[in-house]
Amino acid sequence: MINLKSRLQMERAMRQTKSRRQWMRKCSIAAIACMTAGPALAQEEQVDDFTSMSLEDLMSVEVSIASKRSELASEAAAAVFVLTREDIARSGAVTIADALRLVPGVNVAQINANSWAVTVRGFNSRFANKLLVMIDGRTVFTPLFSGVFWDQQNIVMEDIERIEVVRGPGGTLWGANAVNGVINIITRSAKDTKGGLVKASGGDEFQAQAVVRYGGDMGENGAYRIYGKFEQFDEGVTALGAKANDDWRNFRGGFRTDHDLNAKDTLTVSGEVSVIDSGETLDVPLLTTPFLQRTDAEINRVGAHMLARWTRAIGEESELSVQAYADYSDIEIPQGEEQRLTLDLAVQHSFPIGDSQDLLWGFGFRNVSDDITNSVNVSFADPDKSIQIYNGFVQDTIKMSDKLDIVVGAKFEHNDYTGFEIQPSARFLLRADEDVTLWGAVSRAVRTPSRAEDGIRAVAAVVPPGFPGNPAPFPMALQFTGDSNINSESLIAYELGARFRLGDTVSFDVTGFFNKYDELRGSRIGTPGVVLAPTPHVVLPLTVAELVQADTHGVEAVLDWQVQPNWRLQATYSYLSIDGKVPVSPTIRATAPGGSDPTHSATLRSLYDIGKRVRFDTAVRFVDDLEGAGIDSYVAVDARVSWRATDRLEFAVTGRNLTNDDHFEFGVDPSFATVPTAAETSVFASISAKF
Amino acid sequence: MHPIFAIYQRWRMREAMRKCAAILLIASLATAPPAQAQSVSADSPDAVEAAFLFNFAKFTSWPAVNDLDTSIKFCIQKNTIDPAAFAGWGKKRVQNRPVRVAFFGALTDSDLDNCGVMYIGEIPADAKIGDIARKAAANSTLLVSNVEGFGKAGGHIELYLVNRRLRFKVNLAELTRARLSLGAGVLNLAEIVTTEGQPK
Repeated sequence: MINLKSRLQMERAMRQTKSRRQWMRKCSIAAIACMTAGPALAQEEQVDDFTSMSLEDLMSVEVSIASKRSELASEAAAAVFVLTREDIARSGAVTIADALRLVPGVNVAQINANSWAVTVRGFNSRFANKLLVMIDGRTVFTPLFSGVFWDQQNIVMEDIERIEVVRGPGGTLWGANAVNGVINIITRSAKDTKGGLVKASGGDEFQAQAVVRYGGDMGENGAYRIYGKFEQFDEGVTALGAKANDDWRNFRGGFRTDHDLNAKDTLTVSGEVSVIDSGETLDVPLLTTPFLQRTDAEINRVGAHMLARWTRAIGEESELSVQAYADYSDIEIPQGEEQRLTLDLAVQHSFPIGDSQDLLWGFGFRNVSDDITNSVNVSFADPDKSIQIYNGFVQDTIKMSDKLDIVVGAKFEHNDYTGFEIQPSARFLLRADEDVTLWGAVSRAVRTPSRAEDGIRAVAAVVPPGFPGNPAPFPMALQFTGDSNINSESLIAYELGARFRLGDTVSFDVTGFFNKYDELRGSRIGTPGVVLAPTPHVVLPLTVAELVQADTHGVEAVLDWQVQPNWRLQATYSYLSIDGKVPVSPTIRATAPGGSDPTHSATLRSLYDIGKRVRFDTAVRFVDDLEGAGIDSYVAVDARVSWRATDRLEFAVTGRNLTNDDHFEFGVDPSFATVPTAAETSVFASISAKF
Repeated sequence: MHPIFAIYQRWRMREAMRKCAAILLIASLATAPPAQAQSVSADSPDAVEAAFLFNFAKFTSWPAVNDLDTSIKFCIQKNTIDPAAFAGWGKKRVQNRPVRVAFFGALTDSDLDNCGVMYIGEIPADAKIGDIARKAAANSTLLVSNVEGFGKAGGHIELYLVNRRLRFKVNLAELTRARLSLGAGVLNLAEIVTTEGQPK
């Protein structure tokens, strides 16, 4: 995958292109330029160095023999896939969720214009709860429903340095909820974003975007950047052809500073404020006729955070870092409002023991307090709650020989819902020969209960009198009910992986896994009760319970081929099989897991430099059908053409979902009554200028 | 516009886009050039470091150069940057001047007097950066190194790694002392340092 050699070759190839004939042809009135390259001429000059690159570009080439803890992806004893800044830019993705579509093992399904279901290795949902997502070490996993509001995380894409996706349990290092995977979004150092950037985009679905960023020196050894972004997305159409009220606007502004305090200490401080104005179509259950009403709902989100991280290098191989952040969010939807404040402190220390061991240990504390405003349909027994999480972890990398590393570790965590949780793992990495690396892991991970599972009362549906399941003369409200005694979901995962380098231009990475889940959620049907106000009805509690088990297995593969210095192909394939064990009983309501997960998915990506200044990038994505949700399989094509007019000015035209207008990617999520809309063909143009 | 006509137009657009996408795909997969043998030598950060040196030279003004035929000489300490990283430099020009690359063993080589750019990867035990800098100042040689603390010890440019990427520090006072100047475009990207123990 990303080893130094292929990385350098790739970087070189991206920027060094040979003279060749090229011709362009406008192909459609849809404003997308369509290009094909003519037959290649014999290359006149052998260029195998970087001297034609500008200093600015050179500074973004990865070279490292890296620090101890930021190991290269090819050296990790885990299934790691890295999206670089260039990968993201050339994908034409305008949301993080769209960028993640190119990662094997990650399933991204758009629910409507502003919400996505994103998961790794199955169990997809709008609140896919087995995936931990972090931005610069700050968790963006909401404890309310256990999941991620992807619209709120739509940071300035140009500021992202890399997105590291670790498939498989990451609980040993990252803690609870990193069950099926961890996504780390890492933004660029302020030292890398000096100068100005102005970007403007416009199109049909991605209607408008403006990004402004300015950075410079701060004192002798520091740098800063400030930035702002606005973007607007068009609304979608429901299956009935109605406008879905899901258009949305994203405003955000923030800053980051990076300072070398002295030769050993560095300090990073960042902060951001975001405002999301969006909406959706909801099917709201009613206690009176017609018992279900389709309504337009407004969603308002405000977010703000401030983070500081201090790192000290102790000698050559030891490092200590302390990070603290405060994160505030306010979500207002028709079903209620949630205000939440998270305070988090994390300390991490790495040091060598003798010549053959590296120890990484740390501890952390998190306080999450919320204030929830109840509504008729959704209420919490304890609408104002604080929870505390304490954790400590240790991981030892033992060099058994030049070829074999063993990594053992465990995280110990205490939370207010389930008490003490332990998440151990054992891994090996075997450098079988120069071109083959093998690794394997056995790990345990848990997902702790969400706030909703702890104490929600939510009316999921109303069964009219006389309908099947409701013999009563009154309407029957099915009420999702939390249980404060519920256990964590748990996983034991077995993984094996191999990475091969085939010559200088091809690398192949394959991972197989077998996962055993226990205590997955279902509902116990409780005793019906009659409620007289505001209108007589029967309440049937469906109390969350740990009733379901599942075994899953799958394979993920990536083939990377630098066909030519100016042309790279990347193919990915993922296979996933989920075998749920759901007890059958008249007192239990549970659906088999896996109904919203594709069995097969694949991508083929081409990154092609036509001449020195023109890039032409395409991606074809296949996603299998979602059997349990009635969603058909689809093939989508994305394409992007960019032209760097000067070193500081770039124009690009991007088309997404080009062959597949109006396809649905996800069904109705049982946990939320959002009416899905179709993913549409989208074409937009961008201009960006640096100064 | 009549609604039916609008629907028709929209359908036409989509058809066109579908065809376009198909062509895009076929184009990218089918018309790519045939593979050619490449001599690939860069399997280390060396090629990138060399490119930094090349770029520094592009933006350095040396005093009293009036002969465009005078080559710019890169003096590279032996066993530091892989000589393969400089392959083909003999044919390049910097500031319209020819380029020459030489490798030296000892800092006392008399040959070092006419270096335009000098790269040091290791400071010999018996040498001091300050002394090297004084000699370089006399010869207006741009001094570059990846030795930690090089800039603050009086060297001109120090390359260092941050997040797997190369960065550089520039000691402006020492540059001026050597009668050298770097373009603003380079300085903008640099971290500016001063010699330790001297006023800022």
